[in-house]
Amino acid sequence: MIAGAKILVIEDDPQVARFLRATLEGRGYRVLSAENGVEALVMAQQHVPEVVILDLGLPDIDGVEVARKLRSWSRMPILVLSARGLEAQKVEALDAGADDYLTKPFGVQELLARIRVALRHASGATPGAVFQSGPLRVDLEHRRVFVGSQEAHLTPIEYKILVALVQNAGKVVTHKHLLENVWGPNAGDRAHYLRVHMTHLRRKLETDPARSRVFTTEAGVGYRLHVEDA
Amino acid sequence: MCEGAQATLRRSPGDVQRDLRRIFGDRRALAGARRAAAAVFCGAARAWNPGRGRRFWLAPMSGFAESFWVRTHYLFAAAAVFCATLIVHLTRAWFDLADQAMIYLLGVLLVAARLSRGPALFAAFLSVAALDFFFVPPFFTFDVTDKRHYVTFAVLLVVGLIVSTQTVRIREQANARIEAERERTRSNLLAAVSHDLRTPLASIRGSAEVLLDPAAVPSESERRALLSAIRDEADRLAHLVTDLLELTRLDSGVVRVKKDWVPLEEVLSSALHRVEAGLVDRAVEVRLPDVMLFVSADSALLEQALVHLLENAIKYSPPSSPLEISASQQGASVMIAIADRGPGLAPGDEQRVFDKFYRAADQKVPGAGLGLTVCQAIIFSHGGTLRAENRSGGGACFTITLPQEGEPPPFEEEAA
Repeated sequence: MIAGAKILVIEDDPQVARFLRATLEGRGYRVLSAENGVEALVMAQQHVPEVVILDLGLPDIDGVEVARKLRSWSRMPILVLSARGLEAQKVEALDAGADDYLTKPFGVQELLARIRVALRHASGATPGAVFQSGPLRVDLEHRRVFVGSQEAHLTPIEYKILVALVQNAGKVVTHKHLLENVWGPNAGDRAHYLRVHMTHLRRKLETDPARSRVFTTEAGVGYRLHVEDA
Repeated sequence: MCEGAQATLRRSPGDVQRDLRRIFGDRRALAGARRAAAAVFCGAARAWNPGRGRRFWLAPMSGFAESFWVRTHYLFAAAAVFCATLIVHLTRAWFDLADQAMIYLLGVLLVAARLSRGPALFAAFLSVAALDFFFVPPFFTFDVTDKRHYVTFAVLLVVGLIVSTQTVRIREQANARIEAERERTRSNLLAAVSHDLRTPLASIRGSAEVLLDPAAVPSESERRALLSAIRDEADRLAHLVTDLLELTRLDSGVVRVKKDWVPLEEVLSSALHRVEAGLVDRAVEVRLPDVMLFVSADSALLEQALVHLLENAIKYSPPSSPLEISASQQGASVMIAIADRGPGLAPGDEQRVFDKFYRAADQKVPGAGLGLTVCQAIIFSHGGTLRAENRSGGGACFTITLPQEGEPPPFEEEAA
């Protein structure tokens, strides 16, 4: 954890804002609050927070628009809060530049874990030459993948998908992002291929593919590669 | 119009069928007939029962859409009488007047069973007129030579009126019964919802109040217990509200089912991941075909349905008992079965478990009785079915059948 990191909480509900502030300040973060989109954009410019927590349902500007505006001039991680069942809204926010999302109601531990991941990515900590999560070990330098001591043999596409996930370890990666990463900007509608490759990847890299722990699916949104938090 | 038709028919009395076609083919004549018939009929109806008449005929006549609807109903009634006339005409060699009256009566009955009282009465009057006009000598006039026929007409009319009134009344009673049943379900539902919403709220409010009360001095462990209660009850509320919202969205058709070809493996592992905390160390046996099984479904919704089934199986079976999940392609459908080794379903529960707020006898198990209802709604929204049954050897098994349209797009294996 980066002590004292500045977090901008954009949330119009005073109760939720209060609980977020109490939680985050309790963990040593400095918290700034904004109640609406306009105020949030001004505060983001003035204070340049290290992480932004953005509620999508704001009274003035659409939260997705706020994410887009923030992203137009800054790379600060944006964590979106949204209700279950609004997958399309989440995808829209992620495609507009948000980094991750939390579904309301969420647990404090989940929130803190997401903030840690966001800060890690923001600090520019590029994944080392070797990525490790549980039994999975990816040697990016030598392009080799291991499950425990066993080497796994991946196809080029599977490896590309894996690398895209490793580069965003801990964060959700949208279908669109993965498609563009693997097949380029003209990937079009290959979501089906992506799913098949992901299933292959799971079969090769998960100890129990039917109960995957390393790769999780965020239905209707994308995939997430889990990091075993230290 | 009747005069005109009479004149035309008088000129060529030979071929009734051709002339009938000519009459009914003339749209202007038909519109005129309809207007005249409606006018006559409304008058008759009001005279017959003025109070009801106003309510039943005139009220629905207001507003263009309704009057259009009513007019279509009268058209249907006229069509039914026309059909009866045709049948009587074609079978006139074998039937006498009494039988012919019966055929008309059948037409009136059908109109009464399908439509409202107005068109039924209209059909009754029209039947008498048609019978007289076409099949009672002298033909193609409303004159009657044999006075005995008046009895037939009277009987046809009276029976027609009674039958149509009764049929409509029976139908209205049935509708009222259904409406009452629906109303009762609705109020039961409301009672259940308000109970399930209020209980956690009461607990949250009470706990918070104790914590805020300066006079109450809870010990540290009591304080933590109260705080945990607030958190757990809030979770319960959140769960209930989520289910209710989901159900409402599914019932009202707001949810757009976005079907994609997804490997079942992916949806299933995601669902299992979500219930991980409840599974603890339970053995879960997953049997899937070796070939990747695809389902055409909305992955988020299907995952939600599977989560509900898994949660249900976890809640209603001992913590150490195994869960078995299997899936297979059955013709043009994909079947997914989730089976447990719990006590199974009580007799008669196979259908009831899907009812809103229905809870199996064991009230110690937490929940509001909505999970399976939501699950069923999701599967229905995919055009599929969900079945619950007991397994041999004990336990319950829930089977989803999802019809599949088309084939998943081909997939080319790449060289490793």
